[in-house]
Amino acid sequence: VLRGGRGLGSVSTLVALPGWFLLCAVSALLLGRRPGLARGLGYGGAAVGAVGAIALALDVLVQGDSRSVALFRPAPFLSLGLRVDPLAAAFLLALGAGTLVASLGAIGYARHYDGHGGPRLAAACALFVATMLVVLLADGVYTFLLAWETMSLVGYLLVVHEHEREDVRRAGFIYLVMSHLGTAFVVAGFLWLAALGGTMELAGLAAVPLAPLTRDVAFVALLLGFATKAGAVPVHVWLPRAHPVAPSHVSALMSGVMLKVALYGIARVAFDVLAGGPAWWGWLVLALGLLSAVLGILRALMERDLKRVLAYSSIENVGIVLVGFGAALVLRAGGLDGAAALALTAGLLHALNHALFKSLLFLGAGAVDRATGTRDLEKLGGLARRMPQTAALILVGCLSIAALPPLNGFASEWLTFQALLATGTTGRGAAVAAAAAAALLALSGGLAAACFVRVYGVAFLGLPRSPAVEGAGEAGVPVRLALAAAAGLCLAIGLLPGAAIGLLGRAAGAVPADWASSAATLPTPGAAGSTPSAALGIGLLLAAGLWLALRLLGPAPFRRGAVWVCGFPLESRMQYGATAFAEPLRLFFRALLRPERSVHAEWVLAPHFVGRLTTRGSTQRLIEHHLYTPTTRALLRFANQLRVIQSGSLRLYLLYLFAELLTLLAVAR
Amino acid sequence: VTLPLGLALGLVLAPALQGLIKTAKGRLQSRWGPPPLQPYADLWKLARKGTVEPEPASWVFRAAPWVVLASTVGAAALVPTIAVDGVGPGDAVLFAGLLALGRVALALAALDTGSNFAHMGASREVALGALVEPALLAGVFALAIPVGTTALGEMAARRAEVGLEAAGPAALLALAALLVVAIAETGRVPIDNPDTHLELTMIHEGMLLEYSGRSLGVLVYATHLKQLAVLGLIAALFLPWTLVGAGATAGLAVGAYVAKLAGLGLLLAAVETVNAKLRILRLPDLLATAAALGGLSLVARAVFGG
Repeated sequence: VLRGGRGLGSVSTLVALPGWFLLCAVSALLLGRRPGLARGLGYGGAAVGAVGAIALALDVLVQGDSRSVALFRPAPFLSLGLRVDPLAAAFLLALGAGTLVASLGAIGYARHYDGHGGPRLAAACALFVATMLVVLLADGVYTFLLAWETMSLVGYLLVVHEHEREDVRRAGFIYLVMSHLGTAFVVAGFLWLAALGGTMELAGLAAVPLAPLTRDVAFVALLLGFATKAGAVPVHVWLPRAHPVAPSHVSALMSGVMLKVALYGIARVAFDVLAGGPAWWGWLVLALGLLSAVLGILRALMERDLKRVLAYSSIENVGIVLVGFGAALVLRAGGLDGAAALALTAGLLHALNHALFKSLLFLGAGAVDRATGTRDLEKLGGLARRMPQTAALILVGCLSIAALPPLNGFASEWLTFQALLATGTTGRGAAVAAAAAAALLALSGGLAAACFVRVYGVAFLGLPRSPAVEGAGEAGVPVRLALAAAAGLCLAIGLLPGAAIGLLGRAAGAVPADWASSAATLPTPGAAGSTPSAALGIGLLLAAGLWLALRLLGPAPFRRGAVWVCGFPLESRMQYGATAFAEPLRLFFRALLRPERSVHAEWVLAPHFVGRLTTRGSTQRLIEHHLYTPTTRALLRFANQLRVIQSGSLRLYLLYLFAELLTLLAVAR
Repeated sequence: VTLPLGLALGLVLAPALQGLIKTAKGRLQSRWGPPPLQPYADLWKLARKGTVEPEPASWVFRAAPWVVLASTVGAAALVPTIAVDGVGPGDAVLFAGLLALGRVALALAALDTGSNFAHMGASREVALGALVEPALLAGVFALAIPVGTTALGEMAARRAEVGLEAAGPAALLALAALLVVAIAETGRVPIDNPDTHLELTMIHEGMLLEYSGRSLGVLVYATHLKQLAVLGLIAALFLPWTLVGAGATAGLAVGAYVAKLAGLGLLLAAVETVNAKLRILRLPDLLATAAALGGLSLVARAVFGG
């Protein structure tokens, strides 16, 4: 059953692409004795494969067709096959972009792990990409679930790479538990659909008419399962633990790419398999997205570990993508297919953008960690003068993720705002809800700007806060190259968003067949694309004019001088640290963060002379405190009670097995 | 022709608007106040002064004033001044984004100085910015949803078409929301104090402390321009009838533009005179109220129409 075009788009590419990553993994493993070579081949090969993935995705998006290949079909219900259509291609583009940046950087960055399971790590990375690729390309439920579970397990291996550390093992365990909880819902949802729909093929399922209640149950189960993997609040708890402890290029892959694969699951189910539903589906996804966006970035502002900040900000960005998806579902339910395609495009574009700037920032965080030996913001500072090129590239990433024009983060947030505006026109209640959603999205944008001013300002500007910074130098050439590639793409999409919107719009337009006509009503790429560039262009032109005019006015004396701090010499300890910088926001949002502070004084002579003052501040994780702690406690209590039947006697266990077998036979007969 | 003319008018008038507000404030507070054209003299003086750069600063500190100026000019160019056109569609979300870009550039420059006063200003400014943006977007969406676009020129034109309903309860609530935003964006009492140099009370001024000479002049001018752009936005959206393209001639439009700006400037001076600065911890209440007014405006529209 082979079907497809020629050249790049031929079916063999579909098989060759995951095969190539498997080959990279195997060769890295085989070269276990030569870690340097294994690193070059493993990551270099993955970078080449990423280019191939991008090429395939672009080809499918431009042609606007779908291609499939069946590999193995031992039984009617057990078929393995690959298929790519424009929706999968949109995510394939994000996968390619994220993988390219992460692997390119890893060629240099992973040198650190050469004596520490480097080849193993390189192989696991390539395998991880291969499994994510197969999830995107799966043509049926069986292939999808097989790849999905393999992806989760390989992800676990990557998270616990530095398993000597207790916190790493703990994070890995939580990742595994949450991941399987999510997978359970995904499996249940898909099997429920497959059982009632009578087919395991995704394309076939889309064609089966189902009862509304069946669809609702399947949608909620699958949404919950995929949202867990995507790290949406309130099922996000594993993400800020697992992503920071992994090696930085792995964090880049997990945040930049794996979260997108989970989002692909939501998109595939919502827009293709179930092909839209009642408006409340959309409002549910929208609410989930806004909750993730605001709480995620608020928590990011409270963290002082650079990679934990980035991990929490991933939750925010997943939220923004979900806002786009939710708006698309609401609009589709309202019959506004053109606007729905626009909203879906907003989500797809933000997913691509996040893959770019988050892999940039995680690699950058790795470079900072490598240069200084710490990721604690309170110990950094002044890096811009010590690693100017690396710092400038990371600044581009920070401005992109803060959704500032003229960078790509702004382009996708702008489109998301347009999607909300369209949602607001569907009814009077919807108008109020959409304005509230826009305000919350703007809040998350403003908080993201604050968050990344804090990250960049504290880590890279001002005076060093500890001696760790003194010896810091530029990151290696491969890392800088990867950062430059990502920064360049961020800028390109930001300056010419029309091209990206037009391309991804094809995926949004092609979701079910009847959406294809709506792609024509997308805003013309030029209109959306030219505004930020034009406005900033005029601004830059006039600013340059003024600069020239001032030059003509004559040279002005220039000197460097000491900073005035009330007559004392400036010390680095006088500066605001990361915690102090977030203090106003900690107090503004005290209802959500519950800050606590205790001051302990050791007296030399009470109450006049203090010997040593210790201040301790903390904030509470509300969701973990009110949702997870009681649940875990209840589960443990339940498990304790189950101990009654666990006697340790082998004969008793055999009896259990026999009883279970009889029950199953009785039920399934 | 109207677009460059309107932009040029705004670029020239920005310091005068600041002068007018300061003079009016002086008179309202039974002082003589500076002459209205004083800001031009100040800027001219700063243009000829030398610059002292703080020792810890990197290139970020030197580049920031120009980024702030460019983004503010860009934002100002989006606002319809004398006609219903801005650059491209003149988008409201882009307007918010460009203001945010200026804010981020200045906050980064302040962090680059290593001075704790500048750091304090930056910390407060970005926290405040995070609250101002939702209020701005809520106000904008309250006006944009009824007309179905965030393009400023088209919003103004469509609002001019609906006639007096554009001044109904829904519009007044949105106006109140945007006025609070204007006070916050221009750094005025009761949110910030533009005249103080007392470290503990300042927000915006704190970030400028280490700037001197030409760089300071550029930043001061950008602040004037931002003030003009934000007030111009309110003028264009709530009194759209005097714009060319919405039923007015060019001469009338220019006169009305100046009059609208002067009126809003006097309003700001009056607000500054009769209010005391709020404690910084009370600011979320005020700005959340502003955001809620935007939502209420849409509720009012559902009830009263408009």
